Amino acid sequence: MLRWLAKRIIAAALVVFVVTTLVFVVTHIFTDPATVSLPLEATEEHRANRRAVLGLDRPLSVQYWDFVSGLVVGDLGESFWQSQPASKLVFQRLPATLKLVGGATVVTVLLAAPMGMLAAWWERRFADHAVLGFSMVSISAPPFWIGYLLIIVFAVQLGWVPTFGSSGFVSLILPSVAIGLASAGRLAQMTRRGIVEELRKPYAVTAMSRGFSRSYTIVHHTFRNVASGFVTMTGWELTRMFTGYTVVIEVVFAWPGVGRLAIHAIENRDLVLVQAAVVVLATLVVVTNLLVDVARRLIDPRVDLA
Amino acid sequence: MTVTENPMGPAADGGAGDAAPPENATVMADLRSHLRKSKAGISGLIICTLFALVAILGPWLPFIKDPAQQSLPDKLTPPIGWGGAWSHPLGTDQLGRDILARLIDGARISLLVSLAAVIIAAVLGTALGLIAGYIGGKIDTLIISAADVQMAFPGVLAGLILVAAFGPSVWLVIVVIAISSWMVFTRVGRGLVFTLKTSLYVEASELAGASSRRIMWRHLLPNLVSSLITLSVLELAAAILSESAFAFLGFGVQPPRSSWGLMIQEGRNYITDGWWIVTFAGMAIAIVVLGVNLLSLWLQSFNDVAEREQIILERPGA
Amino acid sequence: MSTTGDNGRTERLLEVKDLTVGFPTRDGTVLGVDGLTLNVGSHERLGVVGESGSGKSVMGLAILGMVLPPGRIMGGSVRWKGEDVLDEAVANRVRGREIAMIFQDPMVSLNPLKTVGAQLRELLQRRVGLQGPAVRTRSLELLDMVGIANAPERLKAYAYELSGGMRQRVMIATALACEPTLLIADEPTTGLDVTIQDQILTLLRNLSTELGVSVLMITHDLGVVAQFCDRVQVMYAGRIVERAPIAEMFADPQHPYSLGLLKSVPRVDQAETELTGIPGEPLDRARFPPGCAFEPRCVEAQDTCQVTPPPLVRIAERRWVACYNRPGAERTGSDS
Repeated sequence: MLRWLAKRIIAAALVVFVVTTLVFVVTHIFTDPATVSLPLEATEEHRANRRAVLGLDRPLSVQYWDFVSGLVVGDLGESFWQSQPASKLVFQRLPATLKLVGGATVVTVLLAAPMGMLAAWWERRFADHAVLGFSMVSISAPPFWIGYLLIIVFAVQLGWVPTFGSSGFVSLILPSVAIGLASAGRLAQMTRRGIVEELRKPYAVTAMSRGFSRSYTIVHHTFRNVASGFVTMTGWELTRMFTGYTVVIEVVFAWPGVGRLAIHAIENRDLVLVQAAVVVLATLVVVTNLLVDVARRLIDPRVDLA
Repeated sequence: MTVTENPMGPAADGGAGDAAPPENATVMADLRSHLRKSKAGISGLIICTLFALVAILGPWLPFIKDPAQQSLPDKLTPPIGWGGAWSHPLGTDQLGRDILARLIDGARISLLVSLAAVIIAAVLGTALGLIAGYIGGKIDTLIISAADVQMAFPGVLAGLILVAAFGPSVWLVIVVIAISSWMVFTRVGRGLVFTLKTSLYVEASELAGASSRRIMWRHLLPNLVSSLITLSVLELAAAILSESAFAFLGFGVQPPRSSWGLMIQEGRNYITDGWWIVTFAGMAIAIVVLGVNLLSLWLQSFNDVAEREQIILERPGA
Repeated sequence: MSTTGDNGRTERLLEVKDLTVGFPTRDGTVLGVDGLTLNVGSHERLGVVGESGSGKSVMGLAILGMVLPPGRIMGGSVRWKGEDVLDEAVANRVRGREIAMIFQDPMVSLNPLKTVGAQLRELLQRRVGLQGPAVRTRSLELLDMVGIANAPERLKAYAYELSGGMRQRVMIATALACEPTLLIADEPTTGLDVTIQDQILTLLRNLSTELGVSVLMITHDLGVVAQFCDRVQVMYAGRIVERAPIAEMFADPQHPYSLGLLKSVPRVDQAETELTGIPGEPLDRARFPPGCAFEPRCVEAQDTCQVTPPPLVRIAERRWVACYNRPGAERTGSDS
């Protein structure tokens, strides 16, 4: 287990390294933070000045070494727009994003697990078709639109919850639901299929032939066998949230997270800050994948994760 | 990385590859009889055709107003049923522009961008998959590692960094969607090549002295086509959603051009007194994506009954 | 009529009549089981023999009212001591408690994530109603009964930690946990070593005698039938083609298919006979001929065979066959 874990961690670190290098290539070879920060009509002299200030006139190898060694100690450069360390800005916003992802995950699991079980229980019956219908609609609707619909109905029309911002638990509900609906639609279908496939397996057929009901068999026999798959797929949804859903949903709900920070950084031509936000989010994806593998292995020792 | 295997069932790779190439006529006949029985397939096909026609014919449709025509006295007119009139069936926006006309205009950008991105991803991804699968060895390892890294670095992140570096543009959005989708084709293409590679008729043509390129072109590609079409339709749904998200974030087309995502961005400041802008624009996206998803579901069920409902819900990245 | 034949002590337990199970496919409905009729009496060991794809396994589950979707029971009846098993309420009572089933592959038929003890406990608590220490006592007793040494240790084992023969013994123990009256054994020895096969069959025979459990043995292996059963039915393409007491079947098979089956099995009692296979391919279930399903492979086929399937008719006391080439049959009367 330890050997396996060490190998996984090294592989994950390697992926982070490759991703950050790619980011560096884009932000320092194809263009550079100085050029981005200046208006198009800026003079060449202006640009050279700015490059010198930011240390961009040094050889690329030196800059790359700076960039990588900075990453290792958590230094992601200086935000041009805010005149503060980019890492500080990103990590200030990180808790809000994590909170949002946490809330969305709770919504996802609470919706997907029961719906998946229900659909599997009533395979090819009304409940199954209804869940499939829900899933198709929820994966087809853009999450940010769902967010606005929720705002229009629950905040504007009914006035039950605040429209924007992050003020305590209540404001977390709508953005979590907006993200959770899309993830739940997918996860419910995968849970259903996992259980249905499991129910066809001889051990489940045996259990039912011993007189255990379909619902009992689902809960007591198949679910544990499905659990490792469920965790994996919840992990996939988490990565989707980190890299897609939270960015748009943070914009919709004016949620002070990393995604919105990145968008603001783009608006303010602050390439260093965008780069910092992207590196942190990509790292979160890799870490999530790693944790999912560990969780899978703990749930089901048979899982071979070479 | 374990991201691509399906932990709850047979892998999505493989698919329809094991059958010998069937005759075209039989396939079409089968397709038609299957379509008649499938409500999902019919509805998907109808929705897709309708949207495609509207996008193509847009400017030549009768009774449709000029999408750029502003009319401040008419601004924020509600749709029919909420106090509006037939002059603006779906109401107007904050500048008095006709929502219906703008939706139709937006369809062109939204669908064109997504379609272009998927075609690029499919061509590049499949080529890489064929190369990886057929040649194998170090090249295979390289390509498949690149696909793994791509999985950990999904489209929106790439989009953020590229837009920050080069500024927003439609071309950039196409590129970003394409690079977040190519590896799906690569993986499936590679998986299919593996199963086909060993099959008898490829071996036979190898014995007959055919060159590698000829083998790939003549024998492998036709077998891939049906799977790739299915996959492309699936990716198209994801691409339309991505395009709308990028447009919404302001990464894509810039005003005064219109796209559905951009309409939502522009309309979001008016959700209290003009809810219809955001609602209808999003509805257009949702309906067309639903149509594509239904079509894809049907294509998958046609390819392999056991794979029904499978790939659609499993695509990594967003 | 509740008693028949044999030795007078037999009471009819299971009566299956015209049971038909269909699976929808793109080419129309395929019948997995087509008008199956069989009866099992108390203290009886009935064999159903047929090659793979003949609908045997579907049959076993269908008798318990279970068909995996998208398949469904399309007609016929299954009665257990007169009650309709296809009624879900009756089925819930009968499954496991009255009729228990053991399956072909015990590796996958035992829950991979539950210990042997947990699987027995679950049955004893939920289906039998035992509580407290009685559960463990009975679990040990059951393992002992199926010949598992070192039972307390084995209770803690997972299926993958056991050998194939051991797993099948555990499987039998779980089947016997609720003291059923009928055991349906679906290829219980397939995939096991020959010596282990023999042990399992011996165990099953002893248990059925000691506990008075009837057995419905579903197998492709005539050797198993010869060794184990009192009576045998031969199945082809979802239909019964011949039914006979065991000795008569082996001495004088009537249906061409039974004949072929017997010829393809080595016999110890007849030295130097030539082994022959049955010509033709096993039937593709999607392409049902309108007449006798065996007709394409039958050496004795005539024109009538292609038109309508021959009915199962009685040709002698306790002997039934479905073939146009076996004339002089009475067509009515109850069977077995």
